[in-house]
Order: sequence, then C-alpha cells, then structure tokens
Amino acid sequence: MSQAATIEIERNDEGCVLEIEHVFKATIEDVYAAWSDPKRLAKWWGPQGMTCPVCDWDPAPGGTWRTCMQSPTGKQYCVGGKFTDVAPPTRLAFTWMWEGEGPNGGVDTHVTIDLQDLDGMTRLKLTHTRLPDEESAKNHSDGWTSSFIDLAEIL
Amino acid sequence: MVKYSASEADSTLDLTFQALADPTRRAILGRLAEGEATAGELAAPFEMSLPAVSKHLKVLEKAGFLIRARDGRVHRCNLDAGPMQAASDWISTYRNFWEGQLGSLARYLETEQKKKKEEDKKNEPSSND
Repeated sequence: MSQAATIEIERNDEGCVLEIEHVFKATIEDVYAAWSDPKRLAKWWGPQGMTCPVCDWDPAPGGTWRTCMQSPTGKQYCVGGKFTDVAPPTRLAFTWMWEGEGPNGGVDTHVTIDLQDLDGMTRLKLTHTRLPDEESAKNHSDGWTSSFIDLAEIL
Repeated sequence: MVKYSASEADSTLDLTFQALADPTRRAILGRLAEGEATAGELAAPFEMSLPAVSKHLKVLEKAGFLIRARDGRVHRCNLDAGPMQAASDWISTYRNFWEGQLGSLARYLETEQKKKKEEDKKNEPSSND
C-alpha cells in the first residue's frame, strides 16, 4: 500500500502548476529504476486498463521520448517530449506534449520527478508546469479536450 | 455562462483559487449552493461582523461566484458555479491522470516487492547449505 497523494495547484507566469506528492513503500533506487528503465516503465505507464504499445523512452539529457497509451477499445493517446534533467536516483525531468488535433494538443509543458529517501521508503514529488490556464483550456477544441477527459475517466 | 471583461479574463483562475482558498468563503459557497440567501443570512453561522462577511462576499463576487440582486436595502445573493466548474474541470483532468499514473506505479512496485520476497525465500535454503 502507498500513502495517499497530496495535491497542490498554483499559478505562475508560465501557466498553471500542478504538484503531487506520493510516498511509495520501495527504495529510491527501485522507484528511480521504474521511471528510468523503459522495460519497467512500460509495465506501469498508462492508467489502469490501458496498455503501452509504444514506449520509446531512454532517459539521457536532451534525448527525446514518445509513448502511446492504448485504451481497451484501441484508442491511442500519445505524448512525447525531451529529457531536460537526468540525475539518478533523485531527479528526472522532461518536457511533455500531448499529440492531438486541438490548438492545445501541441502545448509544451514540463514535468519534474523528484525523489527523496525516507528510511527505505521514497517520497515522489511530481511537478507539472506550464500547463494551460483556464482561458486556453476553454479554447481547447472538442477533440483534444474530450480525448483527455476520456482518458481521465478510464483511470 | 459567466461574463468577464477582457482584463478580468486574464486572471480569472487566480481569482477563482484565491476565492476558494479561505474556509469561510468555502462555507459561504456551500450555503449558497443550497439556495439564495441575504448577506445577513450568510453571516449568521459565523462569529463575524457583517462588514467582515461583506469583505468575503466581495472576493466571491469578484471571482464571479456570487451574483447580488438588490431588493430595497436587502442584498440577495445567488451562487454562480461557472468559475468553479471551469477550474475543477481543468484541474481534474490533469490531476486524475497523474493520480492514475502514480497508482499504477504503486501497484507495479508492490508486485516487484512481492517477487523479491519470494525469491529471497527460495534462496534461503541454498544459503544454508
């Protein structure tokens, strides 16, 4: 069992910031490996019920990545970006851009994973920045918004 | 539909979060969700002066949560859930996504831990050789 996540949302000049903290009952090395090793990542990446048929993921600074999550009905949700910080076993950071037809399908956002050892357990802090604000969220075309909401509903 | 002026639109989300950041204001919104109320009725549950409550109402009004109608000297307040909906819709998609992802990661790590323990058990007899 893992502890419930704590969530914070702020706004800065670049857009909205989402922060989620979660404590895992696993060592920092194991949690980092689950993020850095593509074979391990593919085993959990994607919400429950979804598979990860495309997992082009090899963390190296400046390297690109792309993954596609597939729903049970076969619909794919692809996201990709570039690694911006790779510092095992405490930090992994990358840009994050959903592929899609809507005007915000190509919004370049950024994700940082910070890990901290807590006596054999691991605290993970996920910081997703440069998220579109409410105004741009309102402007999302139906395609992008609804596919993202579909995805959220499967969780 | 919520109507904003152009300058307000830029900081709508700021105002929404600012308005929601206070427990008194959240309680006022909770009361308004049940139906129309006067400023006096909204103030009643709180140990607070009417001017103090009035300040909270102004914050809510600015964020677009509250619509006031004057009825003589009485202000009737109504809830407009528009800003809340916009904020929660936006937040829930990203939040649900990452919560789901971290949930998957937690399940994966638990499975790996179990595998490790089973392997350790298997290795125990051989280590006694």
